[in-house]
Amino acid sequence: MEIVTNMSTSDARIIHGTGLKVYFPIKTGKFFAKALYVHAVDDVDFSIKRGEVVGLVGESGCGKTTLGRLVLRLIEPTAGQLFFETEEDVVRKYIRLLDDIERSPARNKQDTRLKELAAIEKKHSVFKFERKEMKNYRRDTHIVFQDPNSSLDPRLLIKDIVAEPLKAHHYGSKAKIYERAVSLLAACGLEAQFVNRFPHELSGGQRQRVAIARALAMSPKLVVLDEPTSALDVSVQAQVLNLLKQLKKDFNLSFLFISHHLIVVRHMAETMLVMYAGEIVESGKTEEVFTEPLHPYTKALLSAVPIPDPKTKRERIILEGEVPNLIVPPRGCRFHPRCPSAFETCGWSPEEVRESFTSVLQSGRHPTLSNLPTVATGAEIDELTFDLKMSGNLSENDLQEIRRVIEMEISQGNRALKAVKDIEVGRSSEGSTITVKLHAFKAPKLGLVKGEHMVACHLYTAQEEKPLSTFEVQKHRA
Amino acid sequence: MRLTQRIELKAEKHIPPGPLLRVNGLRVSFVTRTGKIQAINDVSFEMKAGETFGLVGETGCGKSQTALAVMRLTPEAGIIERGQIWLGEMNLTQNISKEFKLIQKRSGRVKLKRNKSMLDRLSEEINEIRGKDVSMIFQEPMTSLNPVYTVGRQVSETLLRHGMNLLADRIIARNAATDEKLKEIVNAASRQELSQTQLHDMLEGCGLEALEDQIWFILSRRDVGAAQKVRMISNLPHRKAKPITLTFLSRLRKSDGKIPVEYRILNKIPFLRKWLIGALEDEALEVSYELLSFVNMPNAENVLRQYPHELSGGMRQRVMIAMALATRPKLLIADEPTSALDVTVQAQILELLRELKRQFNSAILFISHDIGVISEICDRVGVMYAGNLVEVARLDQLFTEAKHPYTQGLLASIPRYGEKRELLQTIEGTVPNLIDPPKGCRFRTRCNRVFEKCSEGPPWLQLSEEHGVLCWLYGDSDKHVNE
Amino acid sequence: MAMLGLPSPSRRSTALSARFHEYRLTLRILLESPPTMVGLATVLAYTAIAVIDATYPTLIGVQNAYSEIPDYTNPVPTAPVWPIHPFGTTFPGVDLYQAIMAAIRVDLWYSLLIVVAGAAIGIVVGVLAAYSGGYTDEALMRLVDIFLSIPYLPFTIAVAFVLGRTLDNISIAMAATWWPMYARYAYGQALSVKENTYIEAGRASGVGKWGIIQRHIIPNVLTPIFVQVSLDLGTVVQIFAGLTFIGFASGNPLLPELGTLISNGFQYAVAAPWVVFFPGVVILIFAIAMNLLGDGLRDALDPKNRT
Repeated sequence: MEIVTNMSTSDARIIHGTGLKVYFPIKTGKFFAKALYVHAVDDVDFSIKRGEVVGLVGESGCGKTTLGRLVLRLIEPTAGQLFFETEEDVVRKYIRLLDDIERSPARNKQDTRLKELAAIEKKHSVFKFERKEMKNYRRDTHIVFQDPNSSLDPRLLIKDIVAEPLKAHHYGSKAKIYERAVSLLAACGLEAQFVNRFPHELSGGQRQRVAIARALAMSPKLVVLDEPTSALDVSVQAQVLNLLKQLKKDFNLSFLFISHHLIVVRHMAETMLVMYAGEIVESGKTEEVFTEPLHPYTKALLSAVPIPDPKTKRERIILEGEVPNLIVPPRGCRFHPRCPSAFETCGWSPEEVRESFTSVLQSGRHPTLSNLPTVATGAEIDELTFDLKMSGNLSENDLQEIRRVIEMEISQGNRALKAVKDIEVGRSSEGSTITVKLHAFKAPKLGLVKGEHMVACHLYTAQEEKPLSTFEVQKHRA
Repeated sequence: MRLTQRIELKAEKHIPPGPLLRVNGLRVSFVTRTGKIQAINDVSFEMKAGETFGLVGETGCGKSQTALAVMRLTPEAGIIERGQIWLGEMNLTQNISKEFKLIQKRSGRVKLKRNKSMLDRLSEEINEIRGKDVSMIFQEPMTSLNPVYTVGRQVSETLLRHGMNLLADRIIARNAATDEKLKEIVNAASRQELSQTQLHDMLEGCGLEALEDQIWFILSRRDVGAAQKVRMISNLPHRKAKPITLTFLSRLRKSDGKIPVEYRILNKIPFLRKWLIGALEDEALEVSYELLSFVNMPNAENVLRQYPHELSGGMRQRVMIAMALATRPKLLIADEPTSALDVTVQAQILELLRELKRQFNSAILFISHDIGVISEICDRVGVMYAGNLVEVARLDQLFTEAKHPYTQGLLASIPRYGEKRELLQTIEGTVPNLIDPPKGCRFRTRCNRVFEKCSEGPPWLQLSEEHGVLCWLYGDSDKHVNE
Repeated sequence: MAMLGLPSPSRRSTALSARFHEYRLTLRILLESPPTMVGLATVLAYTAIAVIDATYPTLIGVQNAYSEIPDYTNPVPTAPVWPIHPFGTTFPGVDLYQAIMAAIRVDLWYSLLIVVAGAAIGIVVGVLAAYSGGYTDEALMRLVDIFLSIPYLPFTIAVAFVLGRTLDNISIAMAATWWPMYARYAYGQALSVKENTYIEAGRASGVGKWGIIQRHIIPNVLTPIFVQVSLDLGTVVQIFAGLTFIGFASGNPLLPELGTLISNGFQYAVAAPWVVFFPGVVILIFAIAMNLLGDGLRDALDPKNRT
């Protein structure tokens, strides 16, 4: 059996998310246009153990902030479930069912597996909670935001801000509430004189302490921290990070620590998830990911972090391009357009390859091609093929030459052209047509590499056909 | 004024004697309802031509205000009470005492009165150098770019405002070139053995230096083949301008880049305009394309036609850099240029700045709160705290031999890449109120090595040629920072 | 602001004094600008008159605050004579000074009513629409659009026709045409308040929808609305007087009201200009003063100006 028997409390997962998706619809302004969505979070699984700090890193637009808010159900999911403090075997059963369905899909709605899934969801999933259960959930979770200016209501006194959760959950009498508020502020390093002040009278660091005090008001079990120190000065950041560590220890909290600042995450988190364009591309123990990054994006991210030490010489990987458009994200692996190690199966689309192909033919970099007829038009035929209509005819030699040049370009580092599988020439009266066929591609899925270190990249999981769910880590560890 | 300064030509004749920027005893205050805020207190430093000097410090330390003061862009409520700012030979603070008056009212409040005529005169003088010899890039490129004009138009505008001479020279040189004169260059180019120095010398020989940028740009393009490049160079002399344009341009050069009066009216006539200022505008657009390519803007041709909101943060910052470098300023002030960008984009921009530093040998005053970024690009660093410059050192000196307790505390509180510490070292307390700062050393309320002398104004000690510190711990000197 | 350092610790630290300090700061900023001071002083004067009218009218020489006192023996307007008739008399033999002083109370009262009622309805609708989003948002805002497109004059005529031509009914009609503007305004403000993360923090704390609206959105929306209210008061007074001038409030012709005063004496305007001049000027001064005050309030309440 695959169940791990030695389940200490430190292994108990306090929260588990499966198949999380958040798609934001966009109004195109046209009446009958097809609906467009921003795929902010696309099929994310994650879990946090009790007392653990899980770091979530990524740049702007990668979806980490959205995911953070999703965990608190401040936004509604497009798909996926969230299990909070659910028994391990229930969650495991759920995941097993999911895997099962993926392997052999249900043929009709009467499939018992679907019914079982629905039953588990209804009973345990946070996204299916009704008001009362939601209220409890809100008591057990809270969040600290990035911007200390907009996260405190400017019209309220500090003590009222901290008392808000206490009042909402009917903690007790007014006196009791304010007493607790004052003690919370003290625990966060703010003396009594701040109790009757307005937010604008406090500095950024002090405001963040207020936000932390508020988050801890009802003794939550899980706190999401969305870039809690990114807006603060370095010396204040140090104070706040120390405070967070202390509080975590004192109150046995679990953190989801979201940040783009890798060094801070390394300092705070035991486990780490790397997000890119709405997907998790790498996960594992923080130390492992830092010392042995697997995903090319993680490598580039780590090399881009400015290190305050002029003596350290690092190999700098400078990525080209920008974070992709999430409305029509790149196919296959979303990182492939910028990936220095991309190859055929990574998801090159006909458009991308055609552009590269055409520019090679027409740039004049290769004198042997300079006598070729020019490209008149190009078009995509289907998902893996495109055409180039030439203004003249091509000989067999020309075709050979083109093939040779493509090979050379690939060896010189042109990645898009790696996806070229076949080049054929069709001749007609108006001129030749070059038909280019591409390799098939698929999107990489998160797969286990070693220990707890997982990565979603074709460089590593070439042999694994079956998609590994995050939970099967337990299986391998036992 | 020549456009390019090349790496090989490090000759003394091109680097002005003495420091490029000299700030001496700068004191800037803000007059507010609650009192006078001493934002910058007795700050002095120097910058040599071609060096990158970093100003690092936390919020409220005064680093941004220092940069603004150098450009004389201090906001409305602020005044330069004292001090001198020299840019090369020019004194930017010649008449500051006459620019304003502080009136002490009966209620105890201080009111600020400005001398409008002096300020107008200052504006005129400053506008000559702002954008031309000194330029600035800011943190938030979206607010520095005009959203209703295309990128091409904005970059061209910078060139038209400050670089009409350059544009005119280019057109005139193209006109003066003939196939004959360029023959040697064309031959060397087709053999692909032409360095920038050689190009420069050859052009100088036939008096066509202004063509250097155009030709060098063609040669460094990566999207066209060698044959194509040769074709483009040979084509240059054939792009003749109309005689009327040439007359206009020579008049323009004679009046040193300002449009002569008679042409002002002529410029308004629609079809004439095309050959007068229109020629300059077209040229400016071409130079804009070159500039955008220099800053590695992907798809530069399309970007020229786009609006700022269509570009991403990194691209907008590249546009800002392109605009700032358009006139090859001697000093580039960068105020937190990468703070609003993602880590990977920040890496790209820093790489770009390093590259440009190499190529153009501009001096950069780089302001940031992130020591990591500073250490990626700066030669020397100044650390500021609560309006004072507390330490100045070479980059490596700063990390290995930081002397001021604040610097030491700052460096200790940064989570380090390699080490894993349980708790970070912190600096006790918070930044003081600048309306009523502590007397003497402003850091003494938080310093872990404070002693009695610290309540008097600390001395500035030059520990070595490049390392100076403002602290009583290291002795005494005759330069004190007083309140 | 953090950048400039914290306030000196000599400040008191009770809840009440914290708020008091805020209000005092507002007053100080208001008093810095001369035009605002003038506006404030004038408005205070008008308010004082209104209050005195309702309590001790004789203090300012008004014998009857609720009705003009006609003198049918001398119905024709007479010129100002100090001290018996400082503003002269109007048709039918009414002392203009007393009438105006009494009228100030009436006009102020009704204008305030209109604006406050309009604002109250508008805020609730606007905030609800902004916070709910979705269909509620669309439905409510289209309702607002419909009401916005109603021109106040024909509408007032219709209301007066149906309900009768009294001041009360005019007020109802005006409030009905005025609230949609506030709804729009509150909508915009609420939308931007909604973007603040303290709203999300409130939800994460377990506060329900109405709790958020009550405790966070409305208080933060009130400040700009307050400014708008003060600016609108001046306009509303003018429109109100205009409507009564046209003749909508024929219920009680002796009810002191500035617009009615003007219309009563209108026929004598050429021969006895004071009859229209004084009431008109009183309206005008109020409108200007309210405008100045509103501008000043806007600047004073702007968080950026408060150091």
